[in-house]
Amino acid sequence: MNDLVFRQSEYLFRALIENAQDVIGLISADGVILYASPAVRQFGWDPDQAVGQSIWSLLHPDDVERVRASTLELLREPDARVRVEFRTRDAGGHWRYKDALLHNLLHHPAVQAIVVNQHDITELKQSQADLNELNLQMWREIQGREQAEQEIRQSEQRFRSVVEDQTEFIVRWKPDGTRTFVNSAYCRFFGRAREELIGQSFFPLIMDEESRRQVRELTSVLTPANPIAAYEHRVCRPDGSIGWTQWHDRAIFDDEGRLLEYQSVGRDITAWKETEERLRQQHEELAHVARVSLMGEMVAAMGHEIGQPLHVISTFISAASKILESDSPGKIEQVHQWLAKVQEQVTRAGDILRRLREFTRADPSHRQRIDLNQTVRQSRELTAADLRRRRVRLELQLAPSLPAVHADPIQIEQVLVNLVRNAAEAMQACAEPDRVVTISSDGDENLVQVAIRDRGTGMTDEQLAQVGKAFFTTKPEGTGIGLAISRRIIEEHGGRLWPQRNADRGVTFTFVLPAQPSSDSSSRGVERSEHVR
Amino acid sequence: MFADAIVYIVDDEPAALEAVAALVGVMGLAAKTYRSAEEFLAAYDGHRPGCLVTDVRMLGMSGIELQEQLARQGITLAVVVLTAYPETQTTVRAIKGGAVTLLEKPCRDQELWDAIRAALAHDLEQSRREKRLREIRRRLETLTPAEMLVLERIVAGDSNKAMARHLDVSVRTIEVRRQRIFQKLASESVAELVRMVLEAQPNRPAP
Repeated sequence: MNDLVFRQSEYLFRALIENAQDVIGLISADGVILYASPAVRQFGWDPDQAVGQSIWSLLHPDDVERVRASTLELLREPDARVRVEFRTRDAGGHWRYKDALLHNLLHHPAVQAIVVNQHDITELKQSQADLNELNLQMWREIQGREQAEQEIRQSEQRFRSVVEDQTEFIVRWKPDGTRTFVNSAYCRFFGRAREELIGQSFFPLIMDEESRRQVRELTSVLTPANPIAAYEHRVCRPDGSIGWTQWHDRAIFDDEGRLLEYQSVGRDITAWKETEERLRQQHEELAHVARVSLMGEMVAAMGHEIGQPLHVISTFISAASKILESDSPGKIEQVHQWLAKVQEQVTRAGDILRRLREFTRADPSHRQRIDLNQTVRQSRELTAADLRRRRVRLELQLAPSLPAVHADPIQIEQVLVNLVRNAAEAMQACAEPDRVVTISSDGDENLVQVAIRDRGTGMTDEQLAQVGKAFFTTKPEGTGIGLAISRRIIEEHGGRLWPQRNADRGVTFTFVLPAQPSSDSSSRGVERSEHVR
Repeated sequence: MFADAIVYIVDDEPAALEAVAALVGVMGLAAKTYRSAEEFLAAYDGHRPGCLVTDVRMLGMSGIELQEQLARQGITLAVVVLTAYPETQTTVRAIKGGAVTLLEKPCRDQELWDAIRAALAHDLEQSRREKRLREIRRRLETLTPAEMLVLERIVAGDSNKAMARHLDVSVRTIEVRRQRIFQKLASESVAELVRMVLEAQPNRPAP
């Protein structure tokens, strides 16, 4: 009965063991395989082949040390269990990962062996390796993304600090002028909180309608190919003062080329403008002083210019008073005729005085559309007396018509008077028939040119190079201020003045000014320039 | 008084020419106007009496140069120079006195009128003197060399006897020559004869 029970029990265990997926084995204390369950077949071994082999010979060399250590521990105490992972070679010579549970039953009389339950974890290991690799990749990816994010954050920070901390104003706005973004500098400059500015138009801050129109005009023509505009205008500051600002606009378009917004970068140029204005005023004052001193030099000649009409007037009056004393028939008619001529001369004298006053007035520059031919003719009245005294002939070779220029007629006249006088002085030593100053004019749609030519003794290369520097002069009594001021006047008008030696003799001074094409304001300009005369 | 006088006006400005011409017209005188000194010099035929009214400022030849040019050509026409440059007054005076009147423009009341009258009076007298001088010279030229020698001695104050001795001829011969000299020069006294010779030869050393 006991035997039967035992047999039954053995059969049950054998069945369990022999059908188990795990390999169950018995090994001796020195590692010889005493039994191997049929599951070893999955590694290509026949259970009978396995028996008698040493486990050490099957172990991966790298694992021997570790497994030996575990075995020693196992043998130290009966009934001990250890769990160990190792690799063994299968029949095909491939390494397989095993997870084994070793149970020391050497002392058990029925067993007298170490029971090994080993489970193949090769695929698990592989999966784990794959998983690790995947994890690593993910980790790397995450790392990378974090770095990228960090970089973005940093760059954004940098950008933000650039935008926020810099002194230039940045504003983005919709085509109707509504602000969508402003930086701190912008808020500070206009003395308003960001919330007050966003969603509102900036146009009301611009001082004058003309500048508002300019902004609209300049920005409305921007294209993806040509998205930049630049301009300056005055703006109202929160304290009621007026500031000058300079702006560089960029139009922002979407991929289809539709206008989205404008981005404007601006700066405060008030101080610069003020300096410029002060400098301009100083230039103007200097030009005025030079004009007055020029007139001082010419006053003797101008005295004669006034003397001439007075001479004519006094002579007609003498004749009239004498004829009235006589019994000449028709004397009244004669006197009437003469009075008309006297009136002409009074007007002429008045004109000369007015021109003198105009020429020496200290008003700020008054630019307008002018015809340079007319300015040349007016300047002739100022120089005529001086030229006559010097026995210099003035010849005009003016273009039949010239485009207008935008200039201060008095200052341009000053330049002409200066250059004509210089030309006359350069010919002091010439024989009288050669003392000729020629003023010619010419122009196209871009430039108007006036040339003053003399037949004098000319200038050396060095002198030509020096011309226009203050205090440079070839005249013993001159100061050289005239030419320097003339050059600056022309340059301030956006033009250029230069001397050139003539092929035959003498020097030609030429200046050019930008032509101003006729516009709707031309009639007003002409009216004003007539008035100045 | 100046019935046949002509006032020559030179000025480059038409209005000035017209005004002076008007004044001259009221004076009852003829006026001729020129726009330049050259134009006047080319046209002037030596007519007397007359006067030149001009301006120093003129282009080309100045009034002063015109006056100098006239002197070179032996034209002694009276000149009224109008000027706006007082500084040239002294220059003008240094160059030439006498026939030149200098007026500063504009002239004061009557000044130009008076100056033209004075210039014409001067010119009239001057032209008369010149005419007389020309007559004396013409007459002197009719004398023979022998008569010339006798005239020299008369002017020197020699007696007939001294002359005869000096010239180694008879007293009678001297007397005949003296008579012819008085006839040819239409003179009635020795004093007049001496005056005429001195007038005709102003540079002659005093006897």
